[in-house]
Amino acid sequence: MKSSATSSQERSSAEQMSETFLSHLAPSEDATMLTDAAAGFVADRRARLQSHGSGHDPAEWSGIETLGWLGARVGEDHGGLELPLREACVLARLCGQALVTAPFIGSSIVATALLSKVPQRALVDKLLSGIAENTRVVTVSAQSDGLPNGSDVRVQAQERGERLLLSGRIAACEYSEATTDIILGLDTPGGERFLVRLPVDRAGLSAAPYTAVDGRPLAALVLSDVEVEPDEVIAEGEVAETALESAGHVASAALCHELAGALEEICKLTGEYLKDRRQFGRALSEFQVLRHRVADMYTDLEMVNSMAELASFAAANMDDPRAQLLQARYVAASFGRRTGEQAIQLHGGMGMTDEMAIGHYVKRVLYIGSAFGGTWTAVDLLQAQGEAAE
Amino acid sequence: MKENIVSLQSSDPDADPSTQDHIDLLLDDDLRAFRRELRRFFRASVPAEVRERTDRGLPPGKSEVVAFQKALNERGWGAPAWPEEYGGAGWNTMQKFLYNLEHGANAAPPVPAFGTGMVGPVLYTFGSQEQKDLYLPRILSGEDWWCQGFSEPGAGSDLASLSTRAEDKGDHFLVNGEKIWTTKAHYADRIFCLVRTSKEERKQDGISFLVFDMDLPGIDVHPIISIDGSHSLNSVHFKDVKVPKEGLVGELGKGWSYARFLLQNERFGITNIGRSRRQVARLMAYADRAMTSGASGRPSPSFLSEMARVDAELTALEVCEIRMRTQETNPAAASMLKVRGTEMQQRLTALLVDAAGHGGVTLGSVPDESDHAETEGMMQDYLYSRSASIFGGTNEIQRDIIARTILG
Repeated sequence: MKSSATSSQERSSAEQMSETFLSHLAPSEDATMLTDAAAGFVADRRARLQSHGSGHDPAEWSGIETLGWLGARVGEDHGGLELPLREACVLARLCGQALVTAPFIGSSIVATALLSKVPQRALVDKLLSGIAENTRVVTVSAQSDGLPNGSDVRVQAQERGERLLLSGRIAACEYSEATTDIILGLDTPGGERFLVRLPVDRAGLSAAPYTAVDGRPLAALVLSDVEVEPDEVIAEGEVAETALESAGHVASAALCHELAGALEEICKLTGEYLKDRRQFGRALSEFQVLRHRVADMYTDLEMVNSMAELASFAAANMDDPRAQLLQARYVAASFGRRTGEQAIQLHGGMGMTDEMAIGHYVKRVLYIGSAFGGTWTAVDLLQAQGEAAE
Repeated sequence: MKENIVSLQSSDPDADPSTQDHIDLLLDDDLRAFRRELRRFFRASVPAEVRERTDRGLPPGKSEVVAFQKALNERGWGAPAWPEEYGGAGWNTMQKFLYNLEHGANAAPPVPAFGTGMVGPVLYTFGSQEQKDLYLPRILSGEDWWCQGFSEPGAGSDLASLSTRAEDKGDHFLVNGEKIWTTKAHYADRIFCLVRTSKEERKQDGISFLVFDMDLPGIDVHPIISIDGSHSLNSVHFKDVKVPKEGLVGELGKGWSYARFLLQNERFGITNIGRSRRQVARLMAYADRAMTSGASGRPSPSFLSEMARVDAELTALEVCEIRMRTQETNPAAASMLKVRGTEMQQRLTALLVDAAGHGGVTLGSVPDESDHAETEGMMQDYLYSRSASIFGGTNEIQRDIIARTILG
């Protein structure tokens, strides 16, 4: 199984050869093209946000498909664009700016990262091609520090003859009506990792849908004696471990960029609001205490942007990017939240209304922070890392 | 000098070239090699006792600074950021960044920016040929110590309200007035000064930029002892000082624009992340010491979690500085870095005082008989670091500048 080295592993070492942090930071034509092409989509989403809030939007997924994003990270041999992680993170940032709720990042960036790291057998081929051509939407769930919602995955596997049977529950998993496949990262009783694919309509698997704080669709999954076909075990042992880790690294980087995109909107909306709103006969933007708050918000934004760049560089190029990713997650979540709090405060009473866009962007920032377990988790993991290094 | 419990030597750059820290991982091979060269130089040219004083945050003596500037100049790094034609090193942005980083990270004595960082660039940009020829080489070699005559008792953050007058008397200016907060004026051979040469409608107009010698008759320097107990600051009084006409830099009445140019340069310089990174390492070394231990005998968990946060936020500052210096897209970059860089310095000196525990009760020298001798200098460093958010344009002025780029 391990002998089938995947094309994406080769790709990531090729990226390593060519990319330094400075070239990573330099503006790229591809990034500009992707951003320009998405301008209309982002503007439509913003407009809809003002009128409908951040709920489900049927036009969203088709908009993403039209932009050609679905196969962004899928290899060319599977009909994808094979974009480098750096450009995929540009898309993630746009998702933060447009408050996309559809599971694009989860399927086209995170699940794709995982699938590119497992042996390329027929089922995996089908999933990757399906993601690129919009016949499959895949979600990943595993007990993992690296993945969003990576806790409370309590699923046991037992062997019954040739088959594996799964039972248990998962507290939260990104899951929409469009989701077709779930990849579960599980442990054998001996502690070995393995990955299984389940179609959403498998007998014994039920999904209880609910909505995350930022409007994205989640589900609690309940598994009772769910049968796994032999070919659905897509990776085992070290390969499974590596694939999950890699997906976690990519998820951390992408979500930092998504958070940075939402934060940029938070800062802009707040600046615009202060210029428009008048009290005591003058614009709020003339009051020094408010000006200083905005200065701090924009400085936090620069810090978060910087850490997002560090995260995507580390995930694509470093042998062990964990410390960088944890630091990025900590800075993004903590600076992001305090900037969001300031934004609501500076909007005054208007910041409390669900009709204003600002609250929706703040909730996106809050979701990402909590999906990674909150800022304490990052701090605890960093400390554990530091102790292990000694 | 007392035994310093945490006297850090930065790791030997030649010991194992494959060992890379988090900054190395962002660099290509050429820059990594350049960084090792810098570290070798700083390690070789900074005496251990100077390094220790710097670690303790105690101000270096004049002779230590002059000797170090001389060593830098002999290496061709007297003012590396200057254009090559004036003696600069011809480095790119990242090389300049690494130089500042390693200077601090190796506890080299902080060389005041007044010469190389402030008046030098003003002189080679706006000065006459005679001024360049006379002053620039002596700045590089460390022969001249410069001080800055900007702030006045009535003109602090509102610098343009300054009232020190320079009257045109034909062959000289007659200067009268008072400057304050003049760092190391008691060491200085020369001063650069903002003076009012005419009264205009806009107070920024009519200000001129003068350079002159500190031994002219009528100049009086009074020490100001600061809250850390040290003598670094002064007030400088001018009574009928005859400044030769050759001391005028650039055009009469254009001094304000030269000062703005100078302050912009200064703000980039005071991020000081190299020293902050070293302070983090010093703090981590404390983690194993009794003074940060909880009842369990293990390092205090509160301390360790605070260190994890500081470490992450310092990384953000480092990466942000690299991004801002190389991409140059944010007009408020220098102000943002100044605010966050100085806040980080202050947070670290406060943490060191916390880590010192009861040792924080001391200020100034501590007898060897006291265990608190180990932490001598920490409170002094903490107190002096309060000035970081005040000089170079207070952090509130920086926030005004940042806000102007966003809100108009």
